[in-house]
Amino acid sequence: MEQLKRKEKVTACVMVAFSIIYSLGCLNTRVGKIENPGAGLIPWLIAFLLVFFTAINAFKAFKRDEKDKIITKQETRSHGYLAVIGIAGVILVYPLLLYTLKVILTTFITVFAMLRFLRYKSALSSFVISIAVSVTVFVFFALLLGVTFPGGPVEQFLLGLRWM
Amino acid sequence: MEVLHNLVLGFGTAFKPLYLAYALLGAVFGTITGILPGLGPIGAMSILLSFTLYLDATGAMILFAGIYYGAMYGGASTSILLNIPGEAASVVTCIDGYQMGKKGRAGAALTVAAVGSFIAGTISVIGLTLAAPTLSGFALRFGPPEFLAIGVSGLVILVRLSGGSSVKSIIMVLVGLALATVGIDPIGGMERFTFGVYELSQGIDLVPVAMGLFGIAEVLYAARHSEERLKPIDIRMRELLPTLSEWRRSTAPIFRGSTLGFIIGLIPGPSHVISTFVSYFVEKKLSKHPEEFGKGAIEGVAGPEAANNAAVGGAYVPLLALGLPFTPALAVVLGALLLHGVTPGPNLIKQKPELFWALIASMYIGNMMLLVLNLPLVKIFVSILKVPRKLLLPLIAVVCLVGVYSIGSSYMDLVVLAVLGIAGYALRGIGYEPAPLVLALVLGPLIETSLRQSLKITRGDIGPIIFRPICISVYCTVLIFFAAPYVLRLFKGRRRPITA
Repeated sequence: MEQLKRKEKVTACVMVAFSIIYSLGCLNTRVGKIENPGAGLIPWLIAFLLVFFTAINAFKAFKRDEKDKIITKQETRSHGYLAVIGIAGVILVYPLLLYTLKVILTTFITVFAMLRFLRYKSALSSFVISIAVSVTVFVFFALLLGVTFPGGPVEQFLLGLRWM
Repeated sequence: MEVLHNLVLGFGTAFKPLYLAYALLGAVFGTITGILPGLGPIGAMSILLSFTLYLDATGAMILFAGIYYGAMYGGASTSILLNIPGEAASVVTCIDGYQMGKKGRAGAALTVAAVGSFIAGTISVIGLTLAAPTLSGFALRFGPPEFLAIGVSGLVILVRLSGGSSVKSIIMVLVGLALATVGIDPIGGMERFTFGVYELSQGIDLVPVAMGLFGIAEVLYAARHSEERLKPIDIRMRELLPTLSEWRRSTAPIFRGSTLGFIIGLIPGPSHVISTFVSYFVEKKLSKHPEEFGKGAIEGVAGPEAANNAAVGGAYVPLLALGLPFTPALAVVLGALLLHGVTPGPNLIKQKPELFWALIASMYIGNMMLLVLNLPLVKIFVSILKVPRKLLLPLIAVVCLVGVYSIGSSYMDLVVLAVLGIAGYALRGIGYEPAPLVLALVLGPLIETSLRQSLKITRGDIGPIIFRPICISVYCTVLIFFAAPYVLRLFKGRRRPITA
C-alpha cells in the first residue's frame, strides 16, 4: 500500500510537471481573437485545464492519509521487477541500436536480452530463438512486405540470397 | 430494397477468396488474442495495424472486424475455463461461467456463449446495416458546430464511463488532446510544440501511441507475472451440448442481451464492457431463480456474452456514419482507414459503397466462421495458453517495434512507442486509464478544427454554436445523462419512509 501511495504521488508530480512544460510550450503560439482564433487557442485552453486538474490531482494524492481507501488494484508480489526494468531499457534503446547496428543485429540483441531478463530456459536456447526470430522478422518484413530497413552487411547478405 | 441490393453486392465482394482469407485470419487471430489474458482486441489491432498497410482498405477493415468479434468470442473461453477474463468484456462471464465449469458444465457454457455471440453478432450487424446509412444521411446536415458538439460530448461521456477517478480520466483526455496539438496547426499551418525537431512537425501518430499504451505496456505488465502457470478446466467434446432446459433458459437472455448490447454500443466509452454488466444485472432482475446467479446460472453467461458481441456492431455505427470512433479499438480502425486514405463519415457510404457493404457482409460471414471455429477447436485455442509467456512476450514486443518502424521508417515513432509503453505500464494500476488518451488523440484535431471554424463562421458569437437544434439536443442529452443518477438518488431519498 505504501508503495502504491508513493507511486500515486510521483505520478501526480510528473503530471503537474508535464502540464507546466506544456504551458511553457504554449508561449510561442498566438491565441488570436475570438472571431478569428489562432493556433494557440486550443493549446492555451488545454494548458489551463491541465494545470488546474493536475494540481487538484496532486493535492488529492498528497492529502490522502493512512485511513483513506485508494481505489487502485492491489498489486500482487512478483519477482519480475528486474525483467520489467530490463525489457523497458531494451525497448528504449531500440531506436539507437537500430540506427547503429541495423535491423537484424538489433532484433537479435533485443530478443536475446528480453529472454534472458525473463529467465527463459538456458542462454543457448535464448540464443537460438533470438537468431530465428531476427531472421524471420527480417525475411517477413523486408523480403515479403518490402519494408526498407537500415541495412548492414548481414542484411545485404540475406538480400543477396534472395537473388540467387 | 436498396439495402438488400447493396448487401448482395457486398456479399459478392466479401466472398472473394482473398477477403474470405482475411476474415478467417482476423477471426482466428482475434480469438487467440481474446484467449490470451491481457492483450484484448485493441492490443491485437494495434500490433497488426502496421501490417494492414500492405492490404487494401477493404481487406484491412475486414481483418479488423474479424479480430474485434473474434476477441469477444475468445474472451469467454478463458473466463469459463480459467476464471480469468481474456479481455475486459468477459469479466462478467467469469462469475457464472467458471461456476458452471466447476460443475462439469463448461462445454455447455462455451456452446451457449458461442451460439449467443453468433445470434447477437448477426442481430447487431442487421442493426448496423439499417442504422449506419440512415444516420450518415442525417449527418450530411452536420456542420462544424454539430461535429464539435458530438466530439466534446463523446469525450465527456467517456470520462464519466471510464470508471475510477473522474479527475484522472479528465487528465488523460487532456494529455491526449495535448499530444494531438503537436505538429502543424490544421488550419493556419503553424508549427506547434516541435522544438525544432523535424519529425515532430509530422505530429504524433496514433499507431505508436496505441501500440505503446496497449501493446508494450501489456508486455511490461505481463513480464512481472511471467512465472504464473495457467491450468484450464478440461472439457470433452461430448460435453459441449447444453440440455434442453439450458437452451430454453438461454434464449430470452440472448435476445435481450443482443438488443441492449447494440444500443449501448452506440454510446462512447467501453460499451462492450458496460453492456455485459447491464445485461447481467437485467437478467438477474428478470430471472425466476435469481439465487442461482453467482453459482452457475446459464443466463449469467448467455446474456452478457450476447451483449458484448452486439455492442461491437453498435460501436461501428458512429464510426462509419459520422467518422467518430467512440472506443479505442475503433480509434485504431480509424487510424487504419486514414492510412489508406479513406475518411469515414457521412460521405463514406456514397464515396466508397464497395468498402462499406463488403465490411457489413464480411461481418455476417465472420460471425458464421467464428461459430464454426470456436466450438470444435476450443481445445486447440485454449492450448495456446500453454505457450510460455516468457517466449510470447519478446515476440509481441519485437512485432510492435518493427511494425511501428515499418509504417513510416521513423525513429521518432519508436521513441514515442517506447516512452508511451513505459508510461502506460507506470500508470496502470493507479487509476489512469489509457482509453481516454487514445480517443482524445483521435478526436482532438476534429474538435479543434470544428471549434475554430465555428467561431470564424459565427464571428466569435458562442450562442449560434450551442443553440443549433442538433447541438442543443446533444448537449441536453449529455446533461441528462450526468444528472440522472443524482436526480434518481434524490427521489429515492424522499420516498424512503421516516422511521422513529
